[in-house]
Amino acid sequence: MRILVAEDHPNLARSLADGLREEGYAVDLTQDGNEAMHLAQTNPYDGIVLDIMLPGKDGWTILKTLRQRNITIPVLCLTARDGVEYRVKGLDLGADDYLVKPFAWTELTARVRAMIRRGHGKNSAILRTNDLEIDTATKAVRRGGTPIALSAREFSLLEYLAHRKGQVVSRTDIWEHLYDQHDEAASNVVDVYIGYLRAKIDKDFPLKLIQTRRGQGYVLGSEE
Amino acid sequence: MTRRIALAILFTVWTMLIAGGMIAYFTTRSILLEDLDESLKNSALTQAVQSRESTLDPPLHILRGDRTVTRNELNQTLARPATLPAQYEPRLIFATFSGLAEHRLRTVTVRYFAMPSGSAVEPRPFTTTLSRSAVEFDALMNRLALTLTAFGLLAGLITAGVAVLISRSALRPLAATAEQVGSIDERQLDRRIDASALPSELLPMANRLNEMLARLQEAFALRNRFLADASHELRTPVASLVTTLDVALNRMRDAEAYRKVLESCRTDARQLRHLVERLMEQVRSESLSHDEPIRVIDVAALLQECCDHVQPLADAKEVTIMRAFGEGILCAVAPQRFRSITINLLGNAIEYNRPKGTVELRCSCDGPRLQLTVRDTGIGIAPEHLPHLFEPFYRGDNARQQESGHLGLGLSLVQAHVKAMAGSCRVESELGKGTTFSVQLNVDSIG
Repeated sequence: MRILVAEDHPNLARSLADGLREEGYAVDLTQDGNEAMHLAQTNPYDGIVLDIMLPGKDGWTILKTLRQRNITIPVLCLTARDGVEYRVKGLDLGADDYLVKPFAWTELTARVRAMIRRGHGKNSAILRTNDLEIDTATKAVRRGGTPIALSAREFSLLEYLAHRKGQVVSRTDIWEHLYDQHDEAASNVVDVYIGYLRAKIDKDFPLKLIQTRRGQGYVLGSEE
Repeated sequence: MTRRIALAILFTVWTMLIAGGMIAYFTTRSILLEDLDESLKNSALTQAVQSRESTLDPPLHILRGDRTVTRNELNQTLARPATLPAQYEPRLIFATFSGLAEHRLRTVTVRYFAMPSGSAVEPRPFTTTLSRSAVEFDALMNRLALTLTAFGLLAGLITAGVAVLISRSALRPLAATAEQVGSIDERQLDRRIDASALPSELLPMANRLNEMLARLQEAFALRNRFLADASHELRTPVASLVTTLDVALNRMRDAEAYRKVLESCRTDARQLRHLVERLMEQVRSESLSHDEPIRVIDVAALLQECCDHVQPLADAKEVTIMRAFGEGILCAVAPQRFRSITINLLGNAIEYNRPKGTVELRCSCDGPRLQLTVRDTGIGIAPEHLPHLFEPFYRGDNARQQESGHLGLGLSLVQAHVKAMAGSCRVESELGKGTTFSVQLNVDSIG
């Protein structure tokens, strides 16, 4: 899951990025409104954490422009302005959620998770594929009731595949949603992680859930 | 209020009625008494005449219950009244009346010359005393007094009652206004007293109250905006602090990571301290507006000191400060305020200047007027920002400059100080060319 964080306070921006990375998100960080606009238009983010008071271009303008250009990435507005009129304005301009500073970290992460879920059209925090159960809130994975331990990156990969259950997901897609703009991982790193996931999820089970489509990518879900 | 008006009216009316009643009573009494005495006197004289003729017994004019006593000059009581000879008319010598108090009798004593019956000597003086019951007269007087008293009391009460009603109805709009005023609190300062229902005497009061409400509303709005802005400024560093700590404590880290967290927190805490200090300075400059005494100082020396103070900042931006003021400008000013004004204006001029730009500081004292001008060669201010420039937290661009610690409080602080010294500030600016701030203070010039 890849998130854009646009926040101009340097310490807050760094903490947000560090914290979200530790939660397993790939995070792109910018402190400038124009750069935020550019990044949001050129990368397939799963969500944007957008400060309203940004130098260059403020959050309202970014939000409005994105929605006008039919970019539907879910946006969580961060703002120091506490007032009904500001919330209403943000939500009317197309924000998916609104959080007033200062906030509790757990609330921010919960809202980010919910925002990403909604962006993928899911209501529940638990994603199910056959007997595979992924709890996006606790980051716990079970298959047939057996808990499976995954690394953060493995979990992100599985979560992304689960969100797009039944669809063919290309390596580029996966790469773009798992790595931020500064990651220089080789492109075959996706295949490596798919290998790790298979070893943990599919190896001990007769029904294989991760399918390879040659030349296209991967699909999560049993072949009907 | 109504009660006092009613009592005042009641007592006035009663005093007037008592005075009027007494005048009426005593006038009536004296007139009636005169009539009574006249008739008594006539009766006494008539009796003397009639006794001569002795045809009627009792004689005419003598009422039942009258008592007459006739005495001769030797003060002997005569069994019969002296009889006047035909050729003598009773000639009144004098008549005296005695009071009513005893036995409720009015007595008249008539002295006249007469002839005792059957004698042919010189007529002799006789005295006839006639007493007549005054009970009727008293009763009449009592009734008059009673009537007057009752009427007075009644009239007083009615007048007082009417006064109460009238003053109540006159004060009723006041009660309504009081209710309106009572319903206004700090959350509803937009309400106004409805002056249309008030009598014209109360209009000035209502208008003054409404003006006061408008001023209060403005002051509250300013205060609320200041608070909202202040909390807004505090939110981001606090969010940074909290988020940094939250994230750091999510898991165990090595010493180097903790050191970085602490450094980050220290930066945020310093920023918060700076913010709080500036906010406090702002609040102080407004609330304790007249605490600093005005002293005669050498303004030029103070300006030199201010220039020295901001010199490092100017050096860092390669800005030249031109000290275009003379020596020994003696003026009476509030030194701390004047210093704050100068440093804030200089700081701004340096901050928003271009590299290698200049800041020109002029100061002249012309009679009672001290003029301070700070001109920079900076980026200038767009015309749409100029009217808001002195508002707290106002920044020309939307972006914050967190690192430089600019809060947008400097100019509002300048404004507060200038206002406290009963001066005025002006700003002229041209985009890309520079900005000039002028401060005018009214001072007592010494030299």
